[in-house]
Amino acid sequence: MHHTESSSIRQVKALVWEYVGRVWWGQLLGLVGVIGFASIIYGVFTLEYELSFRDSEVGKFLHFGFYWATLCFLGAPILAAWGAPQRRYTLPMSSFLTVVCPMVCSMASMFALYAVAATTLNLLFEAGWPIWGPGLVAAFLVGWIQAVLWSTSNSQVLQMVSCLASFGVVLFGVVTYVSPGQPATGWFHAGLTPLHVVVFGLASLLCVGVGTYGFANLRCGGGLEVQRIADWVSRIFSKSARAKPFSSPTAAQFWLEWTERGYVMPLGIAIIGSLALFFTFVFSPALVKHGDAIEFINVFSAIILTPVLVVGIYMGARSEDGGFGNFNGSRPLSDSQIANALLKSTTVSVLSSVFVWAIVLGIVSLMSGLASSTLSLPNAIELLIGSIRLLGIAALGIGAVWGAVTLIASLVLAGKKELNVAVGTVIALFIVGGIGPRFLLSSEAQDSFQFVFGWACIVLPLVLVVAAYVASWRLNLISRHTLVLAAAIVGTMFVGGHVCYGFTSDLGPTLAALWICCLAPASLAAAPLAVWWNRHR
Amino acid sequence: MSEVIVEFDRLSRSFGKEQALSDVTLRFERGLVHGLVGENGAGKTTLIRHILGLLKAKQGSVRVFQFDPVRYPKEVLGRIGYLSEDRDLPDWMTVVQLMRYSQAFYGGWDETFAEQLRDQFELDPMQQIKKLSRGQRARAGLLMALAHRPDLLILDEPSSGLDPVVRRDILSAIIRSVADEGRTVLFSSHLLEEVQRVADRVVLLHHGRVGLNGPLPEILLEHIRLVLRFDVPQQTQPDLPGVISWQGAGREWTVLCNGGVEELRTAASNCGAQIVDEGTPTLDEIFLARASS
Amino acid sequence: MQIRISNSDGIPIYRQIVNQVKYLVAAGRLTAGDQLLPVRSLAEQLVVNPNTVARAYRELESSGVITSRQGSGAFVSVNGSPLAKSEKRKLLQDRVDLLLAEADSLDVDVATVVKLVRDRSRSLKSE
Repeated sequence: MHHTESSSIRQVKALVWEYVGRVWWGQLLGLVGVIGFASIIYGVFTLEYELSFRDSEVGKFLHFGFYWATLCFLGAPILAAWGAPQRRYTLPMSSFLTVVCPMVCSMASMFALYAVAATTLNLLFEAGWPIWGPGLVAAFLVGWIQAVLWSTSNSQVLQMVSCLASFGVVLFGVVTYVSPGQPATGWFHAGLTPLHVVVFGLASLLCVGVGTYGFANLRCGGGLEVQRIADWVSRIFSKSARAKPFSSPTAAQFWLEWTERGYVMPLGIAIIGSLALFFTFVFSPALVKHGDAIEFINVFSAIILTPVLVVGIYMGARSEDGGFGNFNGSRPLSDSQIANALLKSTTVSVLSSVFVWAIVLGIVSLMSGLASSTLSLPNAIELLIGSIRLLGIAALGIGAVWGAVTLIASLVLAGKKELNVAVGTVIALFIVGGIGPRFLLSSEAQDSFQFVFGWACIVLPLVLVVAAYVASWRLNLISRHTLVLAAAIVGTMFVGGHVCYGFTSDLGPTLAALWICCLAPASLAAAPLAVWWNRHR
Repeated sequence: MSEVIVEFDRLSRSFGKEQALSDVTLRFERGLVHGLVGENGAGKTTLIRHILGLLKAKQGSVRVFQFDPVRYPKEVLGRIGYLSEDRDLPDWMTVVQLMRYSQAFYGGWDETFAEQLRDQFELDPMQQIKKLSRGQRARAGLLMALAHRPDLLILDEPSSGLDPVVRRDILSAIIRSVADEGRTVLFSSHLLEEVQRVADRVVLLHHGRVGLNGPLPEILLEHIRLVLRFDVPQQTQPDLPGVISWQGAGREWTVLCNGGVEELRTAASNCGAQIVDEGTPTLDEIFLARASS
Repeated sequence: MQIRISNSDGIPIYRQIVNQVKYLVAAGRLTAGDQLLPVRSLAEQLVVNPNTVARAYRELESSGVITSRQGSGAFVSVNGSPLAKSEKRKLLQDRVDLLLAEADSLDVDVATVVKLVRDRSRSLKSE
């Protein structure tokens, strides 16, 4: 008896040691990134507007916005650290222990990281970030996603659908209950109560139960036969593949990019959107009143935008080790052709996602219009101006999102080491700009430092974009067409942004919009450069 | 003088502190089967990646069809059929999807020939690549490399981990390629028995340097395996000129030498030894002797 | 035309082909006027490089064992070339050497060996 006991403990220790070894670097980077990024924003708010965040609406709103970014940046390395569960099938450990140990580690790390981030920001800026409510929810979410992933690891399709479905349900819960202005926000922001403990305990048991059952099932070869259905569906689609040959090599490459990765984003948004909508309408139809609908859209959109970075990473990744891979690298295509196929696929992906998203919004608006009893019709001109403004926002907004996604994809395309360097530099900048001054400089020095740093943050990206274009041009990676396209993008976005702000003489927002517009087409030059760099080492 | 398909001129390449290639100068001529041999980590894959433009020539130069493969990927890669060591193929595609995709890139793609190969290799067109067994996967990769009748066929460790039936398929494909209109083949392999069957010329890489380079029959004939019988049992290997490797104990020793038999005979008799057996070594023996020196 | 290639002796493949064709001719399994497999077919059958087979054929042709006619292929030489006879002799000589070495190691004298050869020849002929 004694012998078995100590061997279990040894096994647990080994698993924990493996986890720490794999994950500490990613967690550290994530933590520093979150704190640094938040510090900059809070720093700016503190200095410019002299707001107090604790217990204020602004504070709650900011916290809610950052919360999702925090979950992504901290949750990603944790979930990635354990790798594929199949590796552990043949370990001489019970399924229960094999599932519980990682889950406890993940949940504990998530809570600890969030707590550290929150405490740091509270100390530095009195940001008013609550610890227990969001921390426990975050821990639960990580545990749940891990349980879902491990229970469906036999089928990529099932994994994706389950995660998206979970995300959709969570979104519904968040929007309905804990977003600013909702009834349960208080619970989110309160200290630790017995209710917290009970709910969290039950939720954790759910995670453990689902995870253990799923893992044990897959371990002995069971598992839902969804893969067969997915295969059958894909066979139907590939029957059309026999039809006609591709018109050109670039058409073939675009097909590869789209079929491999491009379709995921619009499909994901469609699934998340429909599920969240379904649950909202079924369980909280009262939410869809006119005013609430607008807030619903705002919150929903903010949350959807956070994973944009993740999508960018997904689009750009070529192979496990970040290298180009033997197959992709040996295509008889020039570097710019490969980059353009990727950009085209990402563009179609972003635009179709926006289209799907617009449909979701349309449904919400329609429902709210129908549900609302006191709807006064605005006059025609107001409506017209409103629509034009909406298009303007759309041009600027979509352009900005497209620019961000494609730029991140280009960075990932450049290679793992290069990506780490870029991320590390940005995080270092966050530290320097956000946290450093508070500790090292006096208030006057802080002011001038913020001034210089602020201008540097504005000018440096522009300089980098110009440099990228110059380098690509000299390497013959871009042509006149590219430059024309870039100019068109900048022009459309700027006009759209100007329209959206109305014809005022407000210089500040106009310049900000111009800045975003000029950065947006960065990927047109960055992507071919990244391919040229990574493909020929 | 045959056309030169691939030319390396004093190519050197290091990865950090590790020197992968040192001063490699080679020419691969059209219409021949070139065997590239060397122990693991000798630089074979590094050399191949330079041909494909996946590595830039930092010191020295590479020319394929007289082009720099980094600057002209389309022109160079469009005439090359490549089977990588890790059989890198898009896992999610089916066989027929991969064929349709590959067809778009190569002008010389022969649909009938591709179908014929697919049938011969017994590949189910609707089967996903990730579900294929190792041998099937190698066959699929080989199909994609052969179907467009490339001017240069590059196979990196084509036989590793494969059963004899698939290995035979691969060798037959190599032979047919060369027999048809004299295309060029470059293949790296550990299975020296196969290299010996099929190669016209052999290049041996050892720690990134070219150890041997020449027509295979000449290489084989240049090396001689001798058995020496000493009058007195030897504790250590005696020092004799031209000997590449020693094996044995006591009075009888097997040596491999690179030509110069007469000098060896004289030196041996001075040491009190007689040559009791003589023969031609296999490529395997030459390789092992060179690799351990 | 059954030829076997072995990789373990260290004899170059083209040499093995040359030797085996000479053996087949000498043993009468290939007679004058028989057509040899074309280079490509033999290469595919043996799974060896066609250039190797071509070289073997060239050497056979230069030693007179085969003749090649443009467009039709390679054929065994019509007049049993004198070399074929010397090949026969060398072949048997090798076997005799082996037999004698074996007998020596078994401590059997030459006269007994010769008697054995005659006895076996008689009994084989009467079958």
